[in-house]
Amino acid sequence: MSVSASEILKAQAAKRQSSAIPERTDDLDYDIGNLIAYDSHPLLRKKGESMEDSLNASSLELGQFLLSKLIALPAVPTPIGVTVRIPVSNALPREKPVPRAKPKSRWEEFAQEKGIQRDRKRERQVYDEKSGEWKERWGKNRRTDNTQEFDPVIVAKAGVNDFEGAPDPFQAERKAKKDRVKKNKSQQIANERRAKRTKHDDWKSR
Amino acid sequence: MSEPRIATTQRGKRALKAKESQIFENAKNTLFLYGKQVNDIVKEAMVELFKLKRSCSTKLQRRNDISPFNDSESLEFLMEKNDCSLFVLGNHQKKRPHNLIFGRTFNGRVLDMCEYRLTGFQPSEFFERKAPMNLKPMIAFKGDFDSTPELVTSKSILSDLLRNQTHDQIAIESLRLLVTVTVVASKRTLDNGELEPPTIYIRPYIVESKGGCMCPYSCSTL
Repeated sequence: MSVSASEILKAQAAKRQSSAIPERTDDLDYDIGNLIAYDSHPLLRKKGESMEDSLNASSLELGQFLLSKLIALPAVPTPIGVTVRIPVSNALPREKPVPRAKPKSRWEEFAQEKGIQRDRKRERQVYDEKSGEWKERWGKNRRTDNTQEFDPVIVAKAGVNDFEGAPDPFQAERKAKKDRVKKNKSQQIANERRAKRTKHDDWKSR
Repeated sequence: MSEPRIATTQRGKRALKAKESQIFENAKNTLFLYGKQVNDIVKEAMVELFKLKRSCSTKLQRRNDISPFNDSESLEFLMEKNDCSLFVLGNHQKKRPHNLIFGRTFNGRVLDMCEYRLTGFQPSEFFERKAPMNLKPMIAFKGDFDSTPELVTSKSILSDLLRNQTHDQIAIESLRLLVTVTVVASKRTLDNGELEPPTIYIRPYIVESKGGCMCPYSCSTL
């Protein structure tokens, strides 16, 4: 005749129902952050008890200890039901090293030194004077740029642009923009190079 | 490992950024894979463990000629590709039958591993209760895990493997899964005169709030 394990357990539970707290004192180590309990005592085996029964009995006891510890944690009011706050646990190793703080660029260092703060919260909508409307700062319907398409007229400067064979101001503006972009890009690369050169320990060298 | 690829699209950039190290980490993903040869028992045992960790695991189907204790390079490559930092490698060979290797990595390199031989296993179908999916388990370790370095490592790796995702708060109602890991020292000696390695019993239980009943639903003896 075979009795299923669950039947045995239910009988055990019925016996234990009078005392929900196990008989022995709670001298377990806990890692509450990971919901773990460690009991260093060896498994108690009663005479004639099968391994499964011993394991089930010990599990029941450990489960009760652990659950009572968890229920005792500070409660958090939530609409779904009783929720407890679990503390952070650093018992187990990380999977990746802590990220390094990004090194400051030359401007950022200077700004910090001088105490310069710039609140760069740009609005998406910008008033465009040329068309007299509120347009977007970027995107398909953006405000008008300094391009020949939107700015067909550039006022000539006396002595610079107003004679025959003078340099093309439109080309000059286009070139100036390209130079600005190029300079910005090279400064970015220089900052990245500086950041790489800064000493830090890196495990990943193969 | 070659230099990390630079993303050319915004989507690629976001994907790479998610894989970078963060101050508060996500759950560690586990990679389940097979070694050079496997048999059904090992596969089923791995499936049972996979069920406990479904939301944060990847299971590979093919066999891999990987021997982590000899050379872990290809394993580390697979871990990196699947963004996993824990692995369960199942094997079955004549000299090492029903072999399971649990391990974890740190920063892409193997941190520690432990090899086990599966000596007993019952799938969850054997039991009448069905485990609910994606539950955060409570874990209990029983026995002296500090007697040998292998046991110390095992305790740490098994804690890591079983805990799944960390939470900062949890509903008491959802504390319905308990996994107990018991180590029992063996008194038998092997043929070569050494003491037999201890047996680790891993037992998941469903916890009922009323009546304090716990029903086992699957067991694997390691």
